[in-house]
Amino acid sequence: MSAAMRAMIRADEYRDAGVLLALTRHLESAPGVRRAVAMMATPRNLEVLRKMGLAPPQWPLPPKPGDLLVVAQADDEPTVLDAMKRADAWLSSRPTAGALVAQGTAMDDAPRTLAQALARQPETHLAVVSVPGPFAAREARRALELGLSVMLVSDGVTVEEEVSLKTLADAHGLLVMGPDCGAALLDGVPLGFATAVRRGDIGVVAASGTGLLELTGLIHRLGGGVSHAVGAGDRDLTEAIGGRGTLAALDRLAGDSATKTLVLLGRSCARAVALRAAERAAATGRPVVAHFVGLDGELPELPGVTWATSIADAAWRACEASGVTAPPWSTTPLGRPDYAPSQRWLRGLYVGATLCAEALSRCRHLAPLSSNLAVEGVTRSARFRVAGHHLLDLGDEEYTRGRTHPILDPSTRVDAIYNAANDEAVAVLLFDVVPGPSGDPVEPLREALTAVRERSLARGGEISMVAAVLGTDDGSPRRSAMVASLEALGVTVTPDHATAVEAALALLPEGEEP
Amino acid sequence: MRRDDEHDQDVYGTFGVRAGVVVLGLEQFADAPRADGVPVVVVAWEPPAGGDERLARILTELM
Repeated sequence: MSAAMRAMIRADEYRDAGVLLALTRHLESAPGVRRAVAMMATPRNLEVLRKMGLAPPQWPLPPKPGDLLVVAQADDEPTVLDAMKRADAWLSSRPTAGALVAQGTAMDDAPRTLAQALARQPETHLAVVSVPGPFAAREARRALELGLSVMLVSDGVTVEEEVSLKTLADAHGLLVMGPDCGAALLDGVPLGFATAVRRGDIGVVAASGTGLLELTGLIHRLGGGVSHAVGAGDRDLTEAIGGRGTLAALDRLAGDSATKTLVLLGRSCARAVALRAAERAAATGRPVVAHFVGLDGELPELPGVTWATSIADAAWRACEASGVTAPPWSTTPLGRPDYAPSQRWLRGLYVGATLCAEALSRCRHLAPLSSNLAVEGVTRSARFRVAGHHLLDLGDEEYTRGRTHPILDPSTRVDAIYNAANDEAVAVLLFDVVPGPSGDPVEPLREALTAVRERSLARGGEISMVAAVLGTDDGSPRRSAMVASLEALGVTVTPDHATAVEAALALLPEGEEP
Repeated sequence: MRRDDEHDQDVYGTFGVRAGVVVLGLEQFADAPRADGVPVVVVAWEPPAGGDERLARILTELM
């Protein structure tokens, strides 16, 4: 059946990604609406729309970058027209602060700038910045100039901008966490995607989001506690950035009397920069546990530094150094299902870059091996379907253009899971589950994971599913509830991510396993 | 330019986060600190230069 499509432009109306996602879901919840998109009309987003096949052949007026676009595709003309009306009503019921002020219907109540926000709350020390990438560096600079440290959640910030921001922060004794810093725990306060963990004496400096969440969640579940967990940004330990964020964080933790043990977790590291960071950590006089995901080659002995072999190992060793001993987790041996002869490959579908990088570093012996992450010796491909073992970081910029991160918007991963469900060459599906501010992360995957099981069984060979689940039972949703939901769907859930990768490898068909 | 001084650290923690947070961008990022009792102000942010990324970068460079 052919579809009807309509597009609407709302001139000079800015809405953040969270609002746009909520509108998209609102429109798609109506029967007969096949797809809906709400996005700002930046040149990049217009390109995304074109690739999705949702760009109208002709716009009524050429859209400008500050305009809001709503496009819907539905079974028939009345349904699509109704979707447009509902979009208009939904947006009109939520006027922007700018619109209220322009109409004179509200006092300038909500602050419109950082300076106005600070006038209202002068004691503030931290700005959490998640505005679109091209504007993020500008706002971060403003925050620093106003004396605030910055958690920069946005991606799309250039290396030059990052160096400039971190240099400015250093000069003023402030911190820049990020860019692409999804989670942090400072003074016991969860920020970004972080969930609450027990407070304790382990201080963490990690590249960014999911690595930090896996590490702090494991420390909590092992009985340890975290004083602070600082996200330095994915690129911080590269040659170009020189570890500026990590070193600044370590200096701050050195002066923190609550921190007795330090953990350093990095990825995308230059060896020399990573070693310099480990030395600086050791110079604080505290025991240091360090793990740099994917850093090849033997690491030299450094006094006071213990090298961990995985993120989970770093959590265990940090707890040990902090005087917490936990009994080893029991594991149940996994039975390999009867695979069809066509089933050969491992497919990893991640929302967390650090976890995807960790999986890649533990799968290096597999061939052929590909990923969208740039790793030496691994073929680069961002396509969903590739002949061979394939691990994807779906939070990478190439998938998040025109939409939010998959922790908030699971639609890209749902598509990728359906792709795996229909691929008769996939034997093992490996993925991470990361609780975010949008509620239960398992629920949106339920139908797609059911399809993986049912479709593969119908083809005569069941796909094995393995997941690493982040979070704790103190967070929302509780980790144990997410684990129970996944197990009911036939997914094997392991206590930590490194074990999930080992389980996935052990489940590969004979002849494909290591 | 204000800096974190020792008094602030005693009262608000090493990173001063308990004193307050400003959120620019996704409003959801206000929820977790608020739930933890931290005062949060959300900026009703709109892109400068009418959302024109190229122009915004030029303006930033001129700042």
